[in-house]
Amino acid sequence: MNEQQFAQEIRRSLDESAARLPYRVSHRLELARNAALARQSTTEVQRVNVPVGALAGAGASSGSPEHTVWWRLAVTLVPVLVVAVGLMVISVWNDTETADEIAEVDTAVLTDEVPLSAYTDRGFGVFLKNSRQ
Amino acid sequence: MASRQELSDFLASVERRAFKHAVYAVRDEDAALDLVQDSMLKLSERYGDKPAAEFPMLFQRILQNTITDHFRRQKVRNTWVTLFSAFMPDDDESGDRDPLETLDAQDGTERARSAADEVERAQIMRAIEDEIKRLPPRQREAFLMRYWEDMDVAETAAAMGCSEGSVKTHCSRATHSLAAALRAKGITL
Repeated sequence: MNEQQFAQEIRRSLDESAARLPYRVSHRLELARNAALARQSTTEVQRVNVPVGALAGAGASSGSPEHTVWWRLAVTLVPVLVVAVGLMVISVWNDTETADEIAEVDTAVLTDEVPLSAYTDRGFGVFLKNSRQ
Repeated sequence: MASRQELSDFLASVERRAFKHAVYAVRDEDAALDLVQDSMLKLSERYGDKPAAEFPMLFQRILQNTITDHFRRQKVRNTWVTLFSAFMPDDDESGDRDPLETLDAQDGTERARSAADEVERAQIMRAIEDEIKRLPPRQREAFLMRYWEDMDVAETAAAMGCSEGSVKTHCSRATHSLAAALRAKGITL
């Protein structure tokens, strides 16, 4: 059997298999075909709005291609922007907190509430560390 | 410019084979249905005003690109899905199978065959389809377009975006692989 004959036999089997598609599949193919026909890009054909979303699993195909691209871009970029802004806010807040703590200790030293020699005391370092937590 | 009727006839003639093409590639009926639907919409929206003679090549190209896009998206999705797969229940597709579908499929031209012939034929078809699924993607595309879609070498090369020599090589290798695999299973056509 040569290549052409073999391919013909395969083709016959595939045709038979395609003809036996279950109703569930053939019905959805028919719905998809009708939805596609309603959107044919001819000037003569009047466009009809077909509820493509009514077909199961058709979410990705609804809307025009341009809208889909913009929507996907927005869905990707918005979470990234939210995370970036959030990180910046956390960074600024953390810097402010640290500066406040340092200023508080400096103020205490300058007003003689805490002696300058406290910096040489190991216990004072531990106290500052614990008080920050 | 193709009329609505010409486009309808073309889609009706190609939809079942397109579905099978997609199933062989993605191995998931629901995903394959979505891919065929997307391809039909793209053909209709973007190329619905082209001559009907150009539809076969355009549609095959759109279908192959849609399948490729599906795999790209799936690759990204799988990265996340694998992270949470341990928490997801197992899919059991056997539960929602409708026994009437089998009866429906047996209607028509196949009634005259005996039950034994019917089962044997179904097994052979399944074996052929399994082997087609196992072919490398490019070989499978070339083989199906050439021998199932009746496209010539030049059309297949245009739809696949490769040279005519590559198409011939893919087809030849696919044919030999299929023949060897079926022979190994004791199936002679």
